[in-house]
Amino acid sequence: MSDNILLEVKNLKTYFHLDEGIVKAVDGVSFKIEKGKTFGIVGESGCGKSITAHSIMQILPPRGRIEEGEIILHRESGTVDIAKIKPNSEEARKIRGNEIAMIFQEPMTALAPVYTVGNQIQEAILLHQNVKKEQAREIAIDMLRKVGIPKPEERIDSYPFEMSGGMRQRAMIAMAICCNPSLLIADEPTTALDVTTQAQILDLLRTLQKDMGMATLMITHDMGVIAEIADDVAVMYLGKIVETGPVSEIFYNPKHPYTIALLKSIPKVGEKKRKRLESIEGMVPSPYELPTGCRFHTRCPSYMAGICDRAEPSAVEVNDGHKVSCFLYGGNENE
Amino acid sequence: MNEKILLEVKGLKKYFPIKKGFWKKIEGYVKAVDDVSFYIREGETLGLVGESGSGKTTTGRCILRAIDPTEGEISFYLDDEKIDIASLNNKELKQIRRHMQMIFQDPYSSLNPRMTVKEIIGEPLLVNDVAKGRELEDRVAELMKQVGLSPEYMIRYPHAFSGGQRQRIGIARALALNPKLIVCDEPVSALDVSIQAQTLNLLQDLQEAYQLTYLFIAHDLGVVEHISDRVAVMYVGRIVEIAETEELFKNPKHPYTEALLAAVPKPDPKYRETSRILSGEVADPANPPSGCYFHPRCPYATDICKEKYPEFKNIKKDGEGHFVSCHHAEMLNLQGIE
Repeated sequence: MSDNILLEVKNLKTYFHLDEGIVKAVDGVSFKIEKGKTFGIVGESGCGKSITAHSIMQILPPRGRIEEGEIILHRESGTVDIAKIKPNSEEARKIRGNEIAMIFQEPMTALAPVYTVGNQIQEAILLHQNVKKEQAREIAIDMLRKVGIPKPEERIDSYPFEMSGGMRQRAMIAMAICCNPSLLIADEPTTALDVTTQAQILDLLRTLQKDMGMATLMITHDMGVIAEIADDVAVMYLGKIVETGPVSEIFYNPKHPYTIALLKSIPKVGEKKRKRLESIEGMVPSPYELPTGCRFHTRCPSYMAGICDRAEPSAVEVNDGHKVSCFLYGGNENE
Repeated sequence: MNEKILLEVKGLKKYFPIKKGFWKKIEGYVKAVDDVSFYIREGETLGLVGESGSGKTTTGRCILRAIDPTEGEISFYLDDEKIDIASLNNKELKQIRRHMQMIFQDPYSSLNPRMTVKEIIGEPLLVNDVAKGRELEDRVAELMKQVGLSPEYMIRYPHAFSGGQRQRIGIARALALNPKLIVCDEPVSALDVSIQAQTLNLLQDLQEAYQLTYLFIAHDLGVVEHISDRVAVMYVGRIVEIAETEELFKNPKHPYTEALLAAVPKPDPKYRETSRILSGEVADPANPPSGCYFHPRCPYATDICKEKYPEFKNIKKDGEGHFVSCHHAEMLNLQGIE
């Protein structure tokens, strides 16, 4: 079992030290990503899903810091705890972009506008692989072809502004996979794209994963994308994972009131129209004034006074690999 | 919903010139909206879907005369009197604008950060001489209650509110003058799912309470299906299909509609990898393909599709009809959503 684990995040805490106070963006998150599988993190804005990804990449903004926890990367030559490496060290650079690569939401802002796409892909290749410039160009063209860009020999010399949103996202994926990473972090890769383009990109990610055997960490707010691509899912709320498990368990057997409400509040295509959506009351609390106890208790329909606002529930395994942090399922006995 | 038509758009066109060089010579036109016709009944919601660049926002803006249409007729029926919005001058426009309002996509950029909520919601009332002073304050408080905001926050600035609350402020502002028609331009696409559900419910409640008519512009098919009575699908500046919501989703007649429906990721893992993927990209509205604009991506295209733009015709005679612009609409057996 443990041979299959690629990345293990244990009790990760990433805090931001701001003038207004400490924001606990990620507060004790643990999960495992298996080799070649897709792990999805889903949640609303501000739940800490992107910061989790940025912590793994060690590209946190200046005020953010990993306070506690381990991020263990298993590789053939042994294991390494990413949380212990300095973000700007030689070692971190060797991992970043080489073993772990990342694609971002908005390809126009993630790509440099003044360099050609080819230039930017070649830079990554030259940094991490021992090849000559001409070879790097060949690899870059190959990569562009792999991600389905037509006429890659010509497109390699285009600037990002000359490409459409879908093409830019493909170019960014080419850049991310050019060093054959073992883990690809995709932070809302399709959010800025149209539905037909989104379907193309998701299909591309699936095919690439099959071909190259890399694992993917998919960060999204869209349950539809999770259903489409993930093998295992973690649902985050205010810096904590409230529920995690295989994709079928999360969709067909959701346990946490937040997951249940989230699934109900999506207007699904093909559903009876015109009935009221079941929405979650209220809004996400301010990160400076986190609720006591279970963080969801202020909006929870199954709130139990005197229990939920007192202590934080711990994760309980309700089914094989399906864990939920809620007192409804006996979150207090475990600790 | 009743039978009366509130808004009728006929042959609406909006071409943006492409200017090049020092003399700003006109090199061509982006046909953002190209010959669009539809109607909306009183109290009805018409959903307008399409991908980016399909011209749905431009259509909405033309109707409000936020931009001037190049050609076409926009008839607004007010107390049985027909008013052609496309030909009004500025003074007449001001009179009619109180009957049609807009809700914008981005609640962060559509509210002036230097105005308090009271000033934002009260501005339309002040500008149109509807209320001022104490009366204005009462009306703003009432509007805030209607959209689920506490009136004590009246003196705050937009930055103190979350995205969902800001969108409510935008809705209150649109409601201020008791309009008949509200153009909702992607009102929920910037919001989180839980807040999105709240906002959609609010829009439905308001529609029931005030018999509002919505033109609901969105790219999310789930949202559009949920809120609309009828749906129009746009592709490269043209409407390719209009039908009642259930009909359109169950029984699409245009290959583009079918592809759109198939491309939506369903929040249910059992549909995984069943979606057929549309290849290629949206055509350039400055230089659209010959014949049917969709033919380079269409799996059913034949020779005639490359030569002639299909007529927009009704293929279902009962009910609201089913208008579609495809040469093969009657022959194709397309797959909808069960």
